[in-house]
Amino acid sequence: MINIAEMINDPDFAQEYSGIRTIGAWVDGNFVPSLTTVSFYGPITAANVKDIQMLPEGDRVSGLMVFYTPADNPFYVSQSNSEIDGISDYLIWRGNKYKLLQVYPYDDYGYMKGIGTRIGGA
Amino acid sequence: MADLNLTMSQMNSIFHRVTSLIFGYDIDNTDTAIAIAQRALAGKAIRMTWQTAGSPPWHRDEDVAFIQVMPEEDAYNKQKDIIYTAKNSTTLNETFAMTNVIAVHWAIYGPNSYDRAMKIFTGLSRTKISSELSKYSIYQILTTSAPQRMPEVYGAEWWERTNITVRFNTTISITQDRPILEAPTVTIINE
Repeated sequence: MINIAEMINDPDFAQEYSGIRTIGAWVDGNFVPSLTTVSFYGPITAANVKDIQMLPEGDRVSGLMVFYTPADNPFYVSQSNSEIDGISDYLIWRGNKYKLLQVYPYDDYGYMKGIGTRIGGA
Repeated sequence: MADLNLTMSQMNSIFHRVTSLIFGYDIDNTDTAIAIAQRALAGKAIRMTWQTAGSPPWHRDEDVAFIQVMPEEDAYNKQKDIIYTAKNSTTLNETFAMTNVIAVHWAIYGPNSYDRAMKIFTGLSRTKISSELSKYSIYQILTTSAPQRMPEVYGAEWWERTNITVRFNTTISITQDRPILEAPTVTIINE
């Protein structure tokens, strides 16, 4: 199988971005997160338009972005196993946080693709 | 008397604790290590819903209960009472009091979901549990419907799920100082 990680790492396309990995523990029924900063490098593109909803209470901003990363530096969606309880990674681009909603596991081709939704409402 | 006005966070904690006791987690063991271990197990097996950033998933073969505490519409929470009592010569205690009604929903997943729902159904009437709730002035409304078994399909598998909803009366009592009108100032103007 062709490994296209070289394209993902190509500086003509790729840029540095950071993420926040959120694993944690359950305390009295509440998930108490422990945050770790992680670094990524890959292309970032738009999945849809940045848009607003005009609501009586105020405008709400939303949008989806596509993030790529080489397979040897993966990002994660929510997980639970005997060792780790965690929620999806947050990815940070241009000062805005995006929570990963979808990950395309193209590891066999050397990369992963994820779609994140803008959070924070503004 | 101290004010009684439970916040949502306090009610969540109370019902998490009560559910832990009903399910048999030994969270009050005098051996601190055992109590901590039991609280850790109960903390994961009994979860509060609507975690701000979301929360990790669970597995089909894992017994997990989810609790929702919701305010409830009821004729009783229309009645409001204000009582004045003397505090001293210049101040009154104004006590606002009412009965609030809440509904607690348990969505119980896992291979033992129905059995655990029945533990809720029967356990709430046990003296140990009703006494625990009465510490916070929470009292079960006794017309509780039986648990409803409603398995759901997820990921091409049927997951056992049983729901049970129980309503409770809670007391709200808030006391504030109010000054006494000792004497009005009267000014007579002769024209």
